[in-house]
Amino acid sequence: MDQLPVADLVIRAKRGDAAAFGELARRHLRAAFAVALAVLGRPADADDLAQDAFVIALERIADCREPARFSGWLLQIVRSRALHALEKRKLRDPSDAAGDVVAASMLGDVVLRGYLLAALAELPQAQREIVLLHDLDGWSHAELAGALGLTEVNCRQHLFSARRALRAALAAEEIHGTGT
Amino acid sequence: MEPEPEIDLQALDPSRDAVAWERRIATVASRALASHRRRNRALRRGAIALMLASACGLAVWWSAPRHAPPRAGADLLDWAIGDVDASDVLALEAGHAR
Repeated sequence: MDQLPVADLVIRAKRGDAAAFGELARRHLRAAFAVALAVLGRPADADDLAQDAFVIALERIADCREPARFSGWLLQIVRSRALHALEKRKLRDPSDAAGDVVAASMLGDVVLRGYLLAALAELPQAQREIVLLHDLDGWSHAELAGALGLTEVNCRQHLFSARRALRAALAAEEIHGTGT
Repeated sequence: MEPEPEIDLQALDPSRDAVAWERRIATVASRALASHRRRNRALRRGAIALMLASACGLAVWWSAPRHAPPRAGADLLDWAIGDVDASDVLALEAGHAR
């Protein structure tokens, strides 16, 4: 099952194949989380929303007309639900900001997480999505371009700008954000 | 344009706790499957209900008495509910009187 192309998994899921549902969740739940986090800025909210959006998307899997483009279709559902949730959150608390999760009492890994979230909050939403999908979920530029409706060159430019801005923000806090 | 090195976002990765992540995937998949089946069942029942309602509607229409053909000329009821000139009705009434 883990070797099957996404299009085949979607076709199986449309027929109600339980294993296909599990495999789709395994492959795409983290990307759904990345997009929800890019919009909402809070991991706990993003986690809940990604799960709910995923359940809704799979419930309506019959509406996915192009199985090969499942990820773009799914991320669109996640994004629109996240934007709606963000609007509701702003209405509840107008002073609320996406990056206000850095608490003074945070320690160790949680501090790093707070700084990363704060630095991400400074980026435009498209750049947040691209850097999270690429650097967190390992998407290629071609996959990003297909799912987000951009050109590969655009994706590269966004990723370049996002990384540079993140690195500058983290350097200001003396956090080493470089990976490999 | 020199490629910027990758940013280490592991601190934000929800799958770092592998056990919890697997549990979450299983939960999402089973919720989605249950929801998908519920929806399909509802759609199937809706389609059956629609077919039955259409069949009943057709049966009622088929068994209903046919309307009589409309009468020629105008009368008081036509004038009251329709766009019939009053002089036509008066002329008709006069004809009846004769």
